[in-house]
Amino acid sequence: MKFIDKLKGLNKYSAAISFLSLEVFAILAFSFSGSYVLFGSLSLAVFLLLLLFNIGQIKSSGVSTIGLFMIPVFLYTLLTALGIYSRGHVLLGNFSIAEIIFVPLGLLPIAFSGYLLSIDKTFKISTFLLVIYGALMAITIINLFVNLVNFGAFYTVIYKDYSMYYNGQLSSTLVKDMAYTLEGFKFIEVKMSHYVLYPGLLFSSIATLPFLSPKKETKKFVIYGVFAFVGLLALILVPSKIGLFAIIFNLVIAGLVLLCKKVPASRKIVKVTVGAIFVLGVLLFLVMFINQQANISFISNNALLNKFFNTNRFVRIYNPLINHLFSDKFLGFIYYIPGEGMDPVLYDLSGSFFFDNFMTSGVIGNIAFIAMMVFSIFGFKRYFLSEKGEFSIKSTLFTLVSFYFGYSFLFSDGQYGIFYDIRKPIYLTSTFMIVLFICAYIYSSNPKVENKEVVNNEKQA
Amino acid sequence: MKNKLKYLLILPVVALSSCGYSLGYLVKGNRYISSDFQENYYRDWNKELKSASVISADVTDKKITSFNDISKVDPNFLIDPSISDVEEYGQAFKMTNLDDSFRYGYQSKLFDGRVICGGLYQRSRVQSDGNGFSVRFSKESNDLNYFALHFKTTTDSTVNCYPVGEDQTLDELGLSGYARDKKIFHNSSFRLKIGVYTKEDEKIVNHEFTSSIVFNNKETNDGNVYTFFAFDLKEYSLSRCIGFSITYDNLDDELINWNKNKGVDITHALFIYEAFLPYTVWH
Repeated sequence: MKFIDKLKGLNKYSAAISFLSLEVFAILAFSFSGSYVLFGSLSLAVFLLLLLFNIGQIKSSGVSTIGLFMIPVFLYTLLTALGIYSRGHVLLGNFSIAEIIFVPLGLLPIAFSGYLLSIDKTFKISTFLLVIYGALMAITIINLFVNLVNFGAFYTVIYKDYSMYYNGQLSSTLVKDMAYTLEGFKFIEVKMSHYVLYPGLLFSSIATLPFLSPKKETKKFVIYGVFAFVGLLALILVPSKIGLFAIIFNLVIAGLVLLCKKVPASRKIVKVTVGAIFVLGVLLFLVMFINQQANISFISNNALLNKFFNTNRFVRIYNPLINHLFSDKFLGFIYYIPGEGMDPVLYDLSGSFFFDNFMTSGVIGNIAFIAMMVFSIFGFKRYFLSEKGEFSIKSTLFTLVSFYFGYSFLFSDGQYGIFYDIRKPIYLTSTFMIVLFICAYIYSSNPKVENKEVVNNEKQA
Repeated sequence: MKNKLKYLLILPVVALSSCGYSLGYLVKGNRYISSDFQENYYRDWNKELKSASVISADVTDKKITSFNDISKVDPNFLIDPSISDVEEYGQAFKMTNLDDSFRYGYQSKLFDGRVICGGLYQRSRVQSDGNGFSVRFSKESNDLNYFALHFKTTTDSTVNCYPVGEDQTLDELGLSGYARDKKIFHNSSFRLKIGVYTKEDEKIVNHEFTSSIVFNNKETNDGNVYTFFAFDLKEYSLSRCIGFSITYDNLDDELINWNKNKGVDITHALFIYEAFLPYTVWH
């Protein structure tokens, strides 16, 4: 008991630890050094420190709340680490064993840190956001700078039909689809989808602006305005269709949040619309699934569907994954067992975390991932309904997370290196760690519990 | 004032955009890999190198030339005499192993280790005429001691020409495949000029090394015959090397001369597959 009491005394240092954790988040957002092992180690170290210095604050109700959130995260990370995809790529030398070990050892602590920081009184989510956006702005400016120096502004339009010679061969990727980004300590040529991710995330800061008063909160308004401007500038000076999507997606999400806040009557319409899009997505998946079954293939036989799917081009990249899942044994359907199932050499990452998860984590792993997203949605719902906290921050966090998942669903191509063989599925990226932390933090910030605590604190005072 | 501020913001963007360091690596469409022989000549000359002052040296006696078999090359002219297979040699000593900067641009074909033409390697050559081309390195090296090339000489094989001594064209003779290639084997000689460019203070000097190469009938490179050519650079003590150029004079070519008399123009070319500056350090 004395030991626990001593640990409780460490709480006075939590401000320093909270500051340290912000530094770690800055490193993660900046993707500094590009080493997943480093990110995982930092995540684990911060978790252990937070646990040590906040142990006195841990409440059983809070643990049970975050525990629920952690179940799917635990399942997802465990199945991913044990999956044949991870193990296969370790054998091929594409992943190190340390990287795979740090899938659960990095992601679980960062998620639990979400809870630990939610009970840490010295931690402010607004400061966290500033740190994250600051790091994102740094990486965005560096990436933009190197693109301007190498190709100049608007090169994707000016040199759209040009290709680059590399290692004696003409690259199959046109210049309009490539950009330079900082990868580790080197600038390398990457697919446009990877370049757009950082300015896209940065541009999500625009969601704060409608809720800030330029006169009363000038400083904040200017800071977030600069974040959004830099993100937008990086997307405009290196124009691309994916960049345009990033701008529109962020504006739509921010606009919907604004609409729901300003016009409460519109909430139902927004709910129905989002629900309809979700149902449409499920239908789309079913169409793709049924189409993949033997002797059916109705997409290619149906003029209308074919038109939508552009002669099967859209689904072509996902088909090998779906094909495998539903043509394998029953165990393969649930979760391909080690030694059986998918050959990691044959299938590249599809460019969508949803389809990639089937391959990397199995069906159960993917269901766990979706469950985690559903929990996050509930977390955000509670967070929005809570009286506590600035709405501008709530709006931005929601836009940031929505953009990340929306973008990663469509464009998260883990094999983004054009001349270098890079394999980084969603769980091996530092940006996912950030988003997972936000989701866990939001889920843990249960307003009911917090209100009780506030009342108790007031009584004590 | 606001306008000035606006221009001040635009200025860095314009300044950065004007750099365009990687634009030189870009090509539009299928450039240099056309089915039309005439369109594939690479004639890119760096302005700085073109205007360099020239110091000439004849290395005919100091070079080694080997046709299709580097195992027969004098071991003194091989970087590693234990490697007798030219493809292995290319992979072992390709310049992309030395520095990543050699990986970029059309000229990377000369440094990628693909030393012969075959299968996917078919597009690994750089086609040059007598006026040649230059390669400007983005880095410098101080320790040049050896230069080697792997190439073959050729003519436009799509031209229905007259084999030397024949009054009928290849089509009229009804030849195809290797029989057609073999029929146009001929004697020729040319003078190869390798310019090695160095910086002396701010002045650029072209150390032009010339060497005459003679191809007798069996070794003419219209077929599947490659030339490994190397010479020693040690005694010239070259430092601050910033590039090289390859040009040549076609001294005597029986096939071209014979066809000229018959009123048929045949264009000549050098297919260069690989250039070696082994064991160099680039700064």
